[in-house]
Amino acid sequence: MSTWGKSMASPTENAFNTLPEPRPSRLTAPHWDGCKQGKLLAQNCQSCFQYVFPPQPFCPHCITDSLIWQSCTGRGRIYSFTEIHRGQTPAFETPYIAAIIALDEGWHMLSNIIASSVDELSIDQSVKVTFVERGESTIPCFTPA
Amino acid sequence: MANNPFQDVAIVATYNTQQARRLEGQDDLSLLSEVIQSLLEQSQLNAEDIDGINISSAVWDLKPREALSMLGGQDRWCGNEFMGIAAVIEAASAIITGQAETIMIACSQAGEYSHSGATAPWTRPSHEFSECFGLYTAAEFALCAQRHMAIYGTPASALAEVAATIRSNGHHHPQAQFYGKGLVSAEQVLASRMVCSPFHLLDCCITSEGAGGLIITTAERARDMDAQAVFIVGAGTDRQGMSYTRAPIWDQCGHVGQRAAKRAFKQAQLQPQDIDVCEFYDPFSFEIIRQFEAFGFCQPGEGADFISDGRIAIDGEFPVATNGGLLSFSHAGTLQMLQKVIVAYEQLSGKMPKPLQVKKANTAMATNGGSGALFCDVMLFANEAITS
Ligand SMILES: [Zn+2]
Repeated sequence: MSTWGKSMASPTENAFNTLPEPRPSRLTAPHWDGCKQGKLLAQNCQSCFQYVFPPQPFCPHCITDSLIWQSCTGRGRIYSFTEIHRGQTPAFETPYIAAIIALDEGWHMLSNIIASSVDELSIDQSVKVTFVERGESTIPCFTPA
Repeated sequence: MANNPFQDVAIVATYNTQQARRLEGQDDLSLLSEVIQSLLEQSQLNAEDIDGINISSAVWDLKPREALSMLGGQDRWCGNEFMGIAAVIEAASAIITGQAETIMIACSQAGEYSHSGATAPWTRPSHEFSECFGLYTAAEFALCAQRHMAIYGTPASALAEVAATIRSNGHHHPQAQFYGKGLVSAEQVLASRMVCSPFHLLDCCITSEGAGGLIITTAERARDMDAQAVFIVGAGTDRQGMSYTRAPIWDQCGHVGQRAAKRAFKQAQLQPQDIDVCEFYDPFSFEIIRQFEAFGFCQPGEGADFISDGRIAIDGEFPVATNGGLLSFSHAGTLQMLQKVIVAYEQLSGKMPKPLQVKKANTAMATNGGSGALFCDVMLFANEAITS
């Protein structure tokens, strides 16, 4: 392959017509494995007791090697949300709702909210986790609690 | 700070090619050729006078080290930083520390966009904790705007006024993608189709092709050149990690750029109210409101009121994105970041198209990045070195 100019090959059609699945690394696999078992897992520091997400190799708060995976309640509040009308790819059926969820344990994650209408949602509203199958994976989404 | 070394560096030439959705018959290397020749001609310099470069392109993925051979193989300083203001900071630092004297920075993008069915390729994160949920750049920024609107009651009409003001600037700029396409009203912005709430289509940046560049050198050399010199009087960068890899939590990223701006203002011995031209990064309308708050032009939550009543128009107190910005002028590769520096130079050297030239433009602030992207770089300019 030439070093002069990058490959002009487009992503395969498949990449646009299939919903993306996580590609877990050694660091992130426990989170996704937890989802398959119906559990929402995040790292918790046994030294400063803060939660850490997305996964990190060591605690960014107290810089110690004290992180363990802990199962959370899956309950939280909508920190912010957006109704998406132009999808990331055609694989996403529009409109859909993307949100930042503030979990009760004090950490945040991006997710989707499954609701019949965006009009029933508001910031700070209570939500709970629900797990959705996608191909070989399980994706954590949220519904109004 | 009694003596700010940034002030020993001046921009002496800038150039933009035509910007467009598609530049037929052009690729990013042909555009670079136009930029390099024009910059040399304008500055009356020979290629041998350029002893440092940072030239890159998006589609060919031309790296600065590869680009060295395009100007002959002589020994030169070579930049690595790929983003506009950060690239200028890197080059200015090289000049200040004596590693080089005259540096050309240029970048281009032409010949991409093959999949119109999906969002532009670089806006799609590949990170597993955002990609799976259908996030992309506009949605990440929308999450910031929505939180601000919920906390402070910022109305959609304020976002629309920002977009209308900037898009109407582009109508007057002959090199803009939307040149001559008509003035845009806030009502038109609100009537355009929703992309991801609260952003309507006209709140969002466009996609473009184009190229541009600039030459910076020592203040001393600039005087010898009898070129129109604009001085860098302050700069800073704030980074919070890789963009689009984690939730853009407003409480953590809403102020991004504040630290950098404070440091830049201190270096320049300027205050926000001293700035005549605000070439703020405008990937989405809301980011203009955010930046006025983050940089201390107004208090948190006051941005919507602050931008109203024509204050950010060309003849207002703080004109923003005066060439039409990312909403109307151009949004090509990383070029649009460098173009914030280019337009600041054009304003302070009186080279803007007449309807867009800010009167008494003596100081300017340019920025790159934004809340949703988890970084913000700033640079301050003056048309005279500020000495004390
Ligand atoms: Zn800790």
